[in-house]
Amino acid sequence: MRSEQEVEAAIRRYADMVRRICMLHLKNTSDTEDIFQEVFLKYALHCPAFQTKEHEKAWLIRVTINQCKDLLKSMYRSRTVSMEELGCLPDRQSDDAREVLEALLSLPPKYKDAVYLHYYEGYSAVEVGRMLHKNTNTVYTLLARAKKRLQAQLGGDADV
Amino acid sequence: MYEKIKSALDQIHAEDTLQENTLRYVFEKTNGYRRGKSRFYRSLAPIAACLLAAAFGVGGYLSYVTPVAAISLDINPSIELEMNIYDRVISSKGYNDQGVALAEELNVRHMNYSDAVQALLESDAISDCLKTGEPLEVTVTSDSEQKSQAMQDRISDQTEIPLEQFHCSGHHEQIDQAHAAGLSTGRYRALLELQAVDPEITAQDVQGLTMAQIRALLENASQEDLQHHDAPAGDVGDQQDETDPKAEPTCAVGRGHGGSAGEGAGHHGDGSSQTSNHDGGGQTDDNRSGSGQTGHHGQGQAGHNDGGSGNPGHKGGGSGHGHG
Repeated sequence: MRSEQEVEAAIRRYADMVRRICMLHLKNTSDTEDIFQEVFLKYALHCPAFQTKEHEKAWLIRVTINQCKDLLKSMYRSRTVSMEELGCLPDRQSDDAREVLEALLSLPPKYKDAVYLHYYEGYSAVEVGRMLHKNTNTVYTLLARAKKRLQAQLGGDADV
Repeated sequence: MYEKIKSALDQIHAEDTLQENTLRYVFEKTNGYRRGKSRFYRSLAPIAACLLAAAFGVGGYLSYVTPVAAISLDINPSIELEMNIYDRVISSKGYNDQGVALAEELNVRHMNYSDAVQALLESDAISDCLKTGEPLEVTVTSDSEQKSQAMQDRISDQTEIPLEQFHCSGHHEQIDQAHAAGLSTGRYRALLELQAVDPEITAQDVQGLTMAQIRALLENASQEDLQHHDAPAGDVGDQQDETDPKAEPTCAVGRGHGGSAGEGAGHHGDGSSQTSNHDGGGQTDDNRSGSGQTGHHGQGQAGHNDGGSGNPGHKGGGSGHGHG
């Protein structure tokens, strides 16, 4: 088991990342908090050492996505996100940011992870495929379709 | 779009309260980051469960194979059954040739003791002896008097052996003493009775005898003892010469059970010269008079002294020397 200091450091380092993934998948703050806590509890109990920080980060991403999926499966939740649920997002966002987030949340779940990992975290399609256990070509397809949807929602000026 | 997505998501942060709550949650769930210890103990749980199961298994086995009571059937075959706490027969052993043959022929192991006794009584070796009128003695030995009584009742109910033919024999230690002497508990009990009257008699002396012969010997010894006290010395010598209980150790040997009861009469003063027993075949003719209120063991029951009927019968006789 990891020490308290290690867990504190991991929370400081990865809290925002885990929160963003939760936000993409979950509808309310209580679910987000549940997953957030479970992810870091798993981290605390995870004994094998991580080879690198990247390895550690990838592990946390994978665990967070799996936890979110498990929760959604177990609760038979609808995979669509209503606008009211965005109320749980921070209020500090600009209108543009809010518009983008709404567009992201309206994507089918299978696109969200690919978009987040590729466009935000900067992973290549190959890395995304490895993390999501998907074929690289499938990742390309997911990204292309997601881009089309986002362009349709946000306007055609996107140059991804 | 890349920049828009990035800047939009950049505005998402984990709230401080969320981080603090998570830290507290992890601390509680790990028992203050000491969960490793409990996990260590949890990893021992399967081993502990296996050890517990093994202990139960060994304990169960030991409780099954440990004898806590014994039933000795002595007629001509002398056979002894040992029971565990579950009332199951765990061993049957013969203590004379016929008994050994019967134990080998009839497997009563793991049977309930009353069923086992029933099976033995129905065997040819014992049923033939019973047909000839040979007295059967059933000796129940257990550390608990209640248990012995319950066993007697149960066997008597199932086999219809009269309770008068049962004897309770002290403690389980007596089984060990009997076995050390090479006798069943029933024979050992009879030997003790004999030795009470004639201390020179040894286990070897009674080993090859039928129970009827042992009873005859007991009666004879009692008579001699009586004559030592009440009659001239010459008479005693005559009686001794006539006695040869080893002459014919077969089922056809007569009845000796009434002896001890009748002999009580002798103690009271008038039965000493009336006995003319042991005619070479070990038969006893209990022509005696007297009230016989007390057996020579001191607790014989009243009413079994047949006042010279010559046929004391093994049932009536049993009560005269039983319940020691």
